[in-house]
Amino acid sequence: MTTGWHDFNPRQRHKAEDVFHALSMVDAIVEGIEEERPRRAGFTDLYAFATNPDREMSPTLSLAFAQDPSLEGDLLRILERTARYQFPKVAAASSGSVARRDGDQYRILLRPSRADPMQVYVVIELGDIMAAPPRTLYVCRPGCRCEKHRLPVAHDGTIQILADSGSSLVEGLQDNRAEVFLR
Amino acid sequence: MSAAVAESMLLDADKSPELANVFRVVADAESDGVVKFSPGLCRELVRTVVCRVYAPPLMELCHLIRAADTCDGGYCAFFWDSGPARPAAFRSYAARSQTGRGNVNNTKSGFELTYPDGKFAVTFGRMPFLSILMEFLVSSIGFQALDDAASALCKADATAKSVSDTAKYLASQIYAYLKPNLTSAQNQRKFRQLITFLGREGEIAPEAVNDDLVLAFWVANAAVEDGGDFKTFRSVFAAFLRFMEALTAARDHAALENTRSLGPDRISGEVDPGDIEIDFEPIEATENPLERLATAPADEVRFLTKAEARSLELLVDSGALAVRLPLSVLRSEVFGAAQARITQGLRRHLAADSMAALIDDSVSLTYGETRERFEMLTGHLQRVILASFHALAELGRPEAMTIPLELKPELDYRPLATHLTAETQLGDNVVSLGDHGLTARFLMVIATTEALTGPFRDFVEEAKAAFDGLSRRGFRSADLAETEIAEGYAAACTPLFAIRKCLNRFGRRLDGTGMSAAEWETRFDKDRALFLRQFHLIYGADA
Repeated sequence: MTTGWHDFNPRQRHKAEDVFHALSMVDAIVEGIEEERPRRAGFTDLYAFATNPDREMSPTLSLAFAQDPSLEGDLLRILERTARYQFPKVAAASSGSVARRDGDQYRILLRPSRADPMQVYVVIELGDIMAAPPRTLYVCRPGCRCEKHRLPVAHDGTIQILADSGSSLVEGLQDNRAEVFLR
Repeated sequence: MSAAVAESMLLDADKSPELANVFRVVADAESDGVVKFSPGLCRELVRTVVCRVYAPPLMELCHLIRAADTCDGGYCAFFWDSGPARPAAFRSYAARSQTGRGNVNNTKSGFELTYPDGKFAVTFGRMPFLSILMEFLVSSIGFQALDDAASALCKADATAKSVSDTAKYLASQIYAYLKPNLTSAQNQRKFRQLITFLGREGEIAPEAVNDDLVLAFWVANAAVEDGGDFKTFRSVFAAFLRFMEALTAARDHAALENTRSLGPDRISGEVDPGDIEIDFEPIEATENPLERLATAPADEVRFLTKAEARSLELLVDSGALAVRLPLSVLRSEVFGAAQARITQGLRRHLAADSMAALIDDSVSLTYGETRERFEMLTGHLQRVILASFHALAELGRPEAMTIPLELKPELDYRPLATHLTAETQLGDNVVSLGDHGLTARFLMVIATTEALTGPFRDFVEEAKAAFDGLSRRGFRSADLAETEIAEGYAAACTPLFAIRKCLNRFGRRLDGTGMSAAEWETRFDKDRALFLRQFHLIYGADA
């Protein structure tokens, strides 16, 4: 004689429903991931963006940032873990604007151009000229997406960028709430 | 149903809940433009998470994170800078970057960790799965939560117990994440519909399900406006399979409840029931041998092409239940494929007359042709297993011994006994076997075919011919020098046997019906008429 649904106690009935649900869900999810569809970006893309100087912000990663706000926090954490240098927070100046950031081995200075007042030199001084220079600068401001800037080669322990005074790079570096990473 | 409604239902079906999205993101992961995780790994991950059997692999993962953090670049670089998730990639990364810090040894097979209160080993073969589990963790509970846990794991004074505690913490995090994501009103409704239908027909038990009932259910529900997710015959067949598995699991549940250990065996990764509230119980889901073949290290050898694997999917997924529902398997193969073509037409917004023509031409295989295809696959499996014997014997792997016993259990192995004594002369070579075990002796005997006679010699030669006759990855003599290929052959034996068993069992079941070719043809013609009528009802102009 076989036992069936009518012989089951409530716990067995719950078990049957639970197993049916789980196995059906496995089927549905597997079918979903194997069908043709546009690729989605995830943590692997985020990690590559944070650690590979040549990796730009792709449209799929940008979409992932828009859909999942927690990725900003994840990016910051990756940078904290993998960056060559993280500048300490800057105390607020009376103007609220920061002109220099000092660290153990690095210093960032913002110097207005004498030739063009609308332009600013971003100067990164390297304390150890024997060490491999950083290749990327990240500026992460609260409420904004982290910005990645590829750095030019260093000369005599100094990396120099000429940027518009209103550019996001300069504004970010001037913002005392911004976290700055060199990688 | 109108085409517009049908289309809207298709679109609705595409809207995935949070959990499905996470799995899609994980499956889409790429490393330098190459897919990071194989489809087999993705399926294994889904089953592990959804069936809640993630506690043991989480324990392994925690030990691996600790070991990986002793590599240059730390654990992050190990998981995300080592390329596509394959054993060879992790082996190579470890060889380049492992520093030997923190009582972690990099051995030939993986990492060995020594703690004040115990030891633990993680093999390279296991790392691809642990890597995809890691990707799931950062995509579900988030990198920050994972990184906090990793910091605890990587402390210099970590113990086996503290690693176990962290694994349990991560299990509780996954549990909390899954709780709102593992419920589905749709599945509950499907289950109720099946219960109600079977109740009307008679007994509600796995044994009560038969081919006629599956077909009757589909006919009754496929064209119903709010009939749940029962439009395709394949979905109905799958639902009945899962329903039978679920009832069987529930039936076995009472017996299991009394014997299953829920104790805090931390090494095996069991979750202490005192630590987290368990209202989700782990579900035992049978491992799919096709998935095993599609996962490292077995996927190093091309045992099956993608098309061959696809042809076997339904049968293998049906497992032992296929013999209980043989006609449903054939209907799913033949008319399920036809319905998939019609669904594609629906997505292309075909006009009514084109749609009608597509429906009429949708069936491309008969039952007889489908049986022939299965017979060809059975023959191919036989050749591949034979060829594997040759490869494993050449490699001196003990797994070779299992193959003749699997393929030719009826063979008279007694003549071999004379060669398996301690001192044996094989051909021109005098071989002192000394203290070698039986396996080593067996492999040495095979390697010297001139010493063999009779049917076993024929078997060995047949195996060599099978190997030489295959021109796929892994089936060239030079391939056997690669460590990964050797591991692939060894790992593939069990899944290949399981697939062969599925095919043989199903073939015997069809033969056992005693139906002649003409009777199969009549059966097909009747079914074809019924299915086409139903397709027109679901997708045609009158829908």
